[in-house]
Amino acid sequence: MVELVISGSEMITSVGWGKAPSFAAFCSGVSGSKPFQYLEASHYCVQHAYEVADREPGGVEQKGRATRWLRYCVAAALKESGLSLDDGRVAFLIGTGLRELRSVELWYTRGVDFHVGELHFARALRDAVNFQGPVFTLANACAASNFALGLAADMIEMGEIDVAVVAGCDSITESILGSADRLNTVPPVQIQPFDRERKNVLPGEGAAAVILEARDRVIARGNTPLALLRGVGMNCDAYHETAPEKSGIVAAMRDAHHRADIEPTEIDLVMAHGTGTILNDPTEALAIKEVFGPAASRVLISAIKSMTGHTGGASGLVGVITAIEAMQQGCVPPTTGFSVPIPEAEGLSIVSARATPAQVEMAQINAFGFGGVNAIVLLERISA
Amino acid sequence: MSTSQNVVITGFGVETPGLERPEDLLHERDSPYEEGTFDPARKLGRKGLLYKDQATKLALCAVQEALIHAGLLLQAAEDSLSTGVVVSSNLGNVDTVCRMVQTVHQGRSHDLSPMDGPNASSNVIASTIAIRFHCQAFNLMLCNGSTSGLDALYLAVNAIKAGRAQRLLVVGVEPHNDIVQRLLTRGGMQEPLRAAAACIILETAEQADARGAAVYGTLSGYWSSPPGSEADEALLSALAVEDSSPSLWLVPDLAWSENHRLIKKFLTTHKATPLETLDLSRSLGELYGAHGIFQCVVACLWRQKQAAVGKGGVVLMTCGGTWGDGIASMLVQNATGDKRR
Repeated sequence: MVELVISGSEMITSVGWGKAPSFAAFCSGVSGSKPFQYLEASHYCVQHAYEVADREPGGVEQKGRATRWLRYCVAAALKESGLSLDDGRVAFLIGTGLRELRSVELWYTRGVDFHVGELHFARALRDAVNFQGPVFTLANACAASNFALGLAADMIEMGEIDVAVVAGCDSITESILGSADRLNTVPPVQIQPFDRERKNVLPGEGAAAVILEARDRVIARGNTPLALLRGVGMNCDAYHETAPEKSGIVAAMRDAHHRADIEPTEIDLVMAHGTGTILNDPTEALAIKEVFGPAASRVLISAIKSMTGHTGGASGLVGVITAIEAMQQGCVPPTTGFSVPIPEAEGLSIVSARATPAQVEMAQINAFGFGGVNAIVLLERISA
Repeated sequence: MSTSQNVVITGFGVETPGLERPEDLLHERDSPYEEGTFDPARKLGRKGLLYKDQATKLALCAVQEALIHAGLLLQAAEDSLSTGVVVSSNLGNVDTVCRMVQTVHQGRSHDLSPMDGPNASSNVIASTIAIRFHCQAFNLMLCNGSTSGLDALYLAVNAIKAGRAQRLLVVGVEPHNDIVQRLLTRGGMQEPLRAAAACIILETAEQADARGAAVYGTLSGYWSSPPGSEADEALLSALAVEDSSPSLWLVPDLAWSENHRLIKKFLTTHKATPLETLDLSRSLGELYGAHGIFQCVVACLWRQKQAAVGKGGVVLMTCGGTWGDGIASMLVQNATGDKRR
């Protein structure tokens, strides 16, 4: 079977415009949670969100922010990969939870000019990088960009395409912010994954992009692969519109391990989904224990939504790129805001307080979305 | 993990309020038929529908029709682990999102109904189908503009070949409401948007064979091009690769002038076998993300009619070209081993 590698990557989060500043911020425990910069706070109990700082103070919110970040990350990832879009059959797969629904909200409430074709990303990406091939916008909730990576891997392995540009993006919508706030008893000021004091999730935003192709192609043009994609497990709980289900998550993890032909004992790091909700964290912790068995106490766990917020459809690839940085730099970011574990997470090695030096050969990145869509990515380090 | 399985169409269904017989879609009309009253409870019962949006309810009805058509409704739960869902829809939750933000702006977030929360997520249609019909395999929501229906079929075929599922329920649906009407009118809507859903059931040929399922065809020849390109040359190239001579061409929405020019140019330039054309928008109006799935249903109906008189028939489906989008195409033809011409 062909060896698939990631040959270029880039991301934008609330703590850094770029993977280098973002990862440096993660390892320093910098949180992107701030009081609302431009939303009207009087409409909400929650007063904080993890917003990308791309607006002038007091300025008017512009439409298309998620699209702009997406364009930036895709262009940067392509540049790093050294790939020409004329070289082989290429497809773009974009994972998003909310598409440009924030722009729809701005159209509806403020009369901002908006065309329905802007709701998906084909035109913007074709214009940004002069691309003539297929662009797929996959709206698979918070697992979307991991799903996009899985589909892309399948397409290359089947010989449908040679290269995939895989990306994810989301910007905060007031409908999602409002519906999360509706459930708050005490409004959170940050996400506290796996912690007994966690209050709820907080929305974040951002974008991430990777280039996926066969290792031989990258070597042949003299570029350096960043990491090996071992496999992606995908399924659906088919249980509840919002609540996760342990057996579905366990099955998705086992699907990923089976496709990658690895045992859980070989995994050094799990980038947890870790949303800090009442339901996700205990479910995810128990699923990890069930799948990893005795190895569950040894595998390092990092939940960076404590610093990025919940970046929605982008969160899978944000975790993937962070895992690659962790592998390359030998450093695992902490789960800030975590100090006392929920009972279900006791015994797990959740990296807290500060970043941990570690040799990470194999990493797992979890992403679970509304409706029970689950996508688990497995990466292997490539020596420089 | 590729199975190199052949993937076949084993069932289909539609929910088109006001149109009782899907077979009527085989005849082009002068104008779209009137939209009828939608009564989902009649097919689905009342339980579990109260807080579902229109697009979700339409989709559930179409899925049920398809499962009944394929003889699968009662065994859905048994095949749960190997059955998945792919949905194509662009506008399903637009009205929900707009109403929610307006509620917040007129008051506070706590004025929102907690039942609206799940509907604010773009994949609510796909996940609701999965929950109701016990589909625990691959689940995908595609919001890809006017080519989304054929894109969904393409990605679904890939998913089965990659071993992600043995069977996929592939649905196309769009709703119709005042907010969506305003948004599309702003974008230059050419005709009324149709609230309707269609479902195609795809599964491995092996599984279909094992349960003695009727097979309506197989999908191949997917091709996608951006807007403004020389689509007619690309169309010819795609057909040459597939070595197929389609007898029926389900064309993209001809109410859009770009599509009209494309089809006219192609038919004028390439005077090969006389090609029957059918524009579903004449019967149904603007279908947007549901168009490609409806085309596949009509392709199956047409091939069934041909089969009744001992003929086969390759159908070419082309959709898109609206709202600034590109074009996608795909073929429905005989499955391997089906000796009809």
